[in-house]
Formats: sequence, C-alpha cells, structure tokens
Amino acid sequence: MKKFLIKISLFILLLLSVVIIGFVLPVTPRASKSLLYAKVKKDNLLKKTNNPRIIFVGGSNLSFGINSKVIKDSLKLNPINTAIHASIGLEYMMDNTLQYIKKNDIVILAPEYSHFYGRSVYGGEELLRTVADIELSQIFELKKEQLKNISKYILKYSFSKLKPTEYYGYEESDIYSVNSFNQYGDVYTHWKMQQQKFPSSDTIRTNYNSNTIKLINDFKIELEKKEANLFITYPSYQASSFDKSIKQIKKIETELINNNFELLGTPERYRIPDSMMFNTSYHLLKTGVDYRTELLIEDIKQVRTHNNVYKK
Amino acid sequence: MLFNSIDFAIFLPIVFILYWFATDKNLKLQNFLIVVASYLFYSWWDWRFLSLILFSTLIDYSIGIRLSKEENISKRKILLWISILVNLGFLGFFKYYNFFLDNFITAFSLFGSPINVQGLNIVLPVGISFYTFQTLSYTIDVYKRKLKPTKDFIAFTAFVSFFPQLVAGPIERATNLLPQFYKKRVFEYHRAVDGLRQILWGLFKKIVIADNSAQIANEIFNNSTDYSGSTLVLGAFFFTFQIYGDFSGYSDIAIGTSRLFGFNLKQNFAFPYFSRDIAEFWRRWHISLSTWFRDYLYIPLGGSRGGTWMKLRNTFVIFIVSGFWHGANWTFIVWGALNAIYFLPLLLLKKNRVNTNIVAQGKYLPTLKEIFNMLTTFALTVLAWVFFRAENIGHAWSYLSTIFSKSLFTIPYYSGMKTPILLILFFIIIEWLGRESDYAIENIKNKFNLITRWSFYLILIILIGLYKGENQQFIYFQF
Repeated sequence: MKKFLIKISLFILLLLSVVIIGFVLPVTPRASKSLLYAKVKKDNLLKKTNNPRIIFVGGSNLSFGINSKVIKDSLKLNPINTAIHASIGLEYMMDNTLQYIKKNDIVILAPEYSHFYGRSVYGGEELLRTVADIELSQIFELKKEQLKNISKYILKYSFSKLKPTEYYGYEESDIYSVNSFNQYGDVYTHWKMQQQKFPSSDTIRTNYNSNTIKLINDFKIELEKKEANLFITYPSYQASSFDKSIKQIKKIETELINNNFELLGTPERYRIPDSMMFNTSYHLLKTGVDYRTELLIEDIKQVRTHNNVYKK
Repeated sequence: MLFNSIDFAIFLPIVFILYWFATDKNLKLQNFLIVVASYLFYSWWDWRFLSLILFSTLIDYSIGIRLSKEENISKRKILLWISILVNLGFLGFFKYYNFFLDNFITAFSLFGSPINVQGLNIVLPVGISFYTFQTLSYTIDVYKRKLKPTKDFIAFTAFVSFFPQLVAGPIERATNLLPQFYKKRVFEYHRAVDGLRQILWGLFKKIVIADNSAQIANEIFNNSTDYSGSTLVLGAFFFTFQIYGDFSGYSDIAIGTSRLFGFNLKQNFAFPYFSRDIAEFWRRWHISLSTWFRDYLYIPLGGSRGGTWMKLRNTFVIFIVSGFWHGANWTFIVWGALNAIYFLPLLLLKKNRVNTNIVAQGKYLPTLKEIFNMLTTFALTVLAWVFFRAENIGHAWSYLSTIFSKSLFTIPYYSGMKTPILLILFFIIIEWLGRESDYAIENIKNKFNLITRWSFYLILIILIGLYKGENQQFIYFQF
C-alpha cells in the first residue's frame, strides 16, 4: 500500500506540475491573435467613447449581426459593440460592461437564446480564456457558478498551451481574429464573403434557467443606479433553427414580458431567413446585417419616441 | 453520481481510504462500508429509488433462505416465481408500462375502438435493468442448487448494490461476485495499479471517443433530413464509436474501480469491432448480458438442441428479448431482430463458432480475408445501430432510405470531424495492439519501462484534457 500511495502521489505531482506550467506560460501567439483579444480594444471603446452612447451587449449574434456605422448615422448616437462570443457568458458580459457605464448610456442587451437554458449564462471555455489570457486578476471577481463552469476547462486550457501549433504554423483567421472588428466593435471582415455551409442548430434541450432573468434584473438595477437605460432585444436567429426551438423561445419571451423589461421587437421579428445567414445560426451575412440593423433601428426609434430616451 | 464527474473524483479516494485504512480489520464492517458507499453513490441520482433496490434485496435474500430449507419441488417453484415476478414486475412497471399502454391504445384504434387512457409520468430508475438481472441470477442459481444461499445479509446487500457496477453493469453472476464478499480482501499493489490503468483507459474511451462522437452523431441524427446519405453514413459511424466508447468505457471504469477494492469483475467487452462475423461480435459485445440471456433464457428454452425450427425460434427470442431489454421502443426490438437475421445464416450453416480465437493472434497485421470479414461485420453493425439510435421506426427508415439513395455518392458534410476521426484512428490502433489482453492498455506493464508508461498515461490525460467532448450522460443509464 505504501508503494502504491507514494507512486500515485508522485504521478499526481507530475501531472499537477504540467498543468501549472501550462497555466502560467505566457499567452501563446495563436491566442493573442484570437477574437477574444478584442476585449482589450472594446474595453477601451467603453472607456473613451463620448456621450451620447449606445452600447450593445451580447454574444456573436451582435458581433456578427449589426452595422454600428448605420446605427450611428441614423440615431445620432455613438455606438459601442461589446459583443465577442456567447460562451463568455452573459453574466460576465454584463458585469464587465457595468464598470464603464456613464450617465444616460443606452444599453441594448441581446442575449443568445441559449443563455436562458442550461448553464451557458455563466460562460464556458471562452470565459476562462478571456480571463486567463487577458486579465488574470479578474478571476477573483468571478462568481461561484462561473468558477464552477470554467473549472471544467482548466486542463484543456493548460494543455493547449503545450501544443506546438499554438506557436508555429498557425494562420490568423479572417473572421475570428482580433483584427476582424471595425472601430465600433462589429466583425466586418466577412461582409464580402459568401454563405458557408453549416447545419442549423438543434432544438434547445437543456432546462430553462430562471437565474438568467434574475441576473438581467440585477444588471438593470445597477444601470438605473447609474442613470443609464436598459433595453432588451432578441438575437438574430436563423429561421430553420428558430422553428426547432419555438417553444423554448416563446418561454423566454413570456418571462421577459412578465418581468417588465423594455423590449425591442419580438422573437419572430428577428427570425432571419436562412439565406441571410453566414456560417452559424446566429451569424449574419452582410444582407442579414443590413436587414437586422434596420429592424433594430426601427425598434429603437419606436421606444425612444415612446419613452423620450435621448429624444432630440 | 457519474464516473466522469468531480463528485466521483472526490468520492472514490474517500471510500478507498476508509476501506483500506479504517475498516480493513473487520470484513463485516468493510462490506457495510461498501453498502453505505453504494447507497450514497446511487442516491446522488435519486434517493427515492433506493427503496426499490432494498426491497429487491430483501425479497431475494429471504427467498434464497427459504429455498435452502424447502425440498418440495412445487413450493420451490412458487418461491422462484415470486422472485421473478417481483423483480420483473418492478422492471415491467417502470420501464415498459407506458410502452404496452401506448401499443394497446394503437391496437384498439386500428380495430375501430379508440380508447382514451392516459399514460403515467414514470421516471425510470437508473440501473434497474442491471441490478434486477443480477439479483435474479442469484435466486435462479440458488433454485437450481448451483449456489448456496447466503445468510450474510450485509454481504448480499453489498453484492446487489456494489457501486462500481450498480447502474450500468457488468451484470455480475452471484456465483462469481457474491463469494468475493465472504473473503477478506487483501490489498495487492499490482491489482490496484491495473485498476487505475483500466479506469484511465475507460475515461479516455468515454470522455474523448464517446463524447466527441456523440456531438457529431447527435447533430446528424437529430437533423437527419438536412443531410445527404453520405453524411448520414458518417452519423451512424460516429454513433457506432459513441456507443462502444460510452458503454465499454463505463465497464472499464467499473472493473478498474472494483480492482482498487480487491474485487474481480468479468470482462464485458472484448474488442467487438474486430469481429469477423456477427456470432463473434455477440461473443464480444456486452458479454455479461449475452451470457445472462444464454444461461437463463436460451438454454432453458432448449438452446441449440432440437431441430432447426427450435434453433431459429430460440435465436429470435433471445435477440428480440435482448433488444427489448435495452428500451421500451420498437426500434430496439427491430435492432434485436435485425441482429438475429444477421446471425441466422451462420447458425443454419453451422458456422457460428468458426471465429472463436483472437483475430491475427500473435501478429501485427490481419490477412486480407480477415480485413474483409471485419469490415463486413462492422458495416452490418453500423447499419443495425441506426435502429438503436433512431427516435422511432419511421426515423430509422427515413435515415436508411436516405443512406441508400443517390446522395450516398455525394461528398459528405465533414466540417469539425477531422479531429474526432484522428482520435478514433488513434483509439483503433491502441485497441488493435492490445486486443489480446482484457483491455487495450493492460499489457503496457510488461512491455515498457516506468518512464515510457508514465509518459503514455500523461499523454492520455493530456488528450482527455484537450479533447474533452461535451459532457454526455452514459447511454446505458437509460436502460
């Protein structure tokens, strides 16, 4: 038994050393070019953009889904698209944005539908990479559920830094790179590209997570304290994927209405024809971006008229 | 509690330490610890169903003792039937009630007498099919006087609920496992290391092979109407590795965990995808279930004795019942029947026991004939898995119709499949090299030095960390 315990302890020690070495190694060249690194630029935008501001918060349905320039010209507001990746988790997106909010900011929240189901609201692998690669000190600010979610990816994260392909022979992606974003934070490098072949999303099968609404409510309260306004819109979602999860989407709509959030449009309004999709059920081609942007502008104008928010 | 969860990673060392350091002086206490640990392990999923396990345990324990005192044949038969009816009654109610009800309703509707009866919202207790068969084997063996009934209630309870194999097997026979609870277990270094090695291999199979394959298989099966025949072939291929990695991975973890506690469980999978015919496949796939059906159903029905008609009937019965054991759905029944059809030519030509040895034993590579036979058997198995995975018969039929259409000859949609295919290739190579052992990496201990062995284990753990698929429930939990 003694021999067994000694050997197993030695092996665990060896394994832990590999994990720790991987974890503390500097950011790999490949990771430093990834789209997650856009957070640095986007945080700068949040810091430096002047009033009047309109801030978009959400996953890639926003980064691949709006043309902020058109919004700026139409609404005469300074847009900041903070969106990067849904898997960073809605909770982190909201918390990170909150620190930069100024008086009279308009915040448009566009959670992916998946954020209301299962545990994706707390983030996953991309949250770990965002924190560990960009701002490790933020790990102490993460909450229990977020830490629980990212803990599953620690081995993967550490071991990935040991892969030679992280250092040599990698190619920077055209569309998933830190350089894929324009000055407002929209991904624009795919605007001239053709539709790629991809499967529609499966029916949402995980359980409804009522905590998402609670987290949005907390966010709203914090925004109100800073005298900013929150509006919630629905993500642009591929029609064929939308139809598979219609029940789950209607449930989200009902919950948002019951909780008295200011809503922009309806889920059906943002059900985007398959022909306008780019490479996933949330990413839009340029035609889709233009279409969705127009819808959003109409909806924002409507609530501004109604609520007198930044009305000039 | 799942084997691939943090909870189990904490639970296992605690039980291990208590087992070998706190209770090792007293066999009864050690067995009692196994019972407590097993009940805790099960209650992680749903504590309410512990009452079912306890009830089955009490019934079979009492009937065992009564059988030992009873000489009257009729009374012995009655006791046996009580055990069978109680155990299969629970299984039938929880697993098959709604299936039979739905089919009765459909049948009545077909004859023009629609009836309106609501099904029950029944939760299937995890592992009920496994522990029911395990306890039944005890009563039947005691009835047949192959086994002396136990008077040690704690040992019997530990046998029924032994946590490594409680929820997904292997289905152990009382004759093999129960006596191990009577003897003092002694810690053996090599057995424990072997156990850990098998656990590691099982985790690799489950987390890397099964879970990665599952993501692709689920996507393709759930959206099968969107894909071409060639892509659907890929979907079936990935499901083939999902189910093998999932179930044999679970068995490896179960067997390895048992070894850590000084128990030997029987091999449950013996490299089935290297089989050269369907008969060999069924000798290598889910061995504990196949042999259970062979001993407690096929042989009592007459087995292969008697005429051709009898053989055919018994073969169909065993395959269909085996299919039905997997789930209350016609898809499983058709899957069983299809395997029976595959099996029939071999049975009729008396070639069902041709390939009883290990393929290419002692060689690195198989012959061309062996390759052809293995590929043919594999292809037949892949086709049969379509029924197993499909939501219903209509889905299976439309899936197969698309496979056998012109679109079979188009380029499949293969985005995101490169890494899983490479991992499966790595897996196949390791399995091939280790096919003469109980599990693929067992012989590493004899062939390589410590540094090479530890490096290999580290590589496996790195692969698990790097290519961990989205966590999926073990498929066989639903059975």
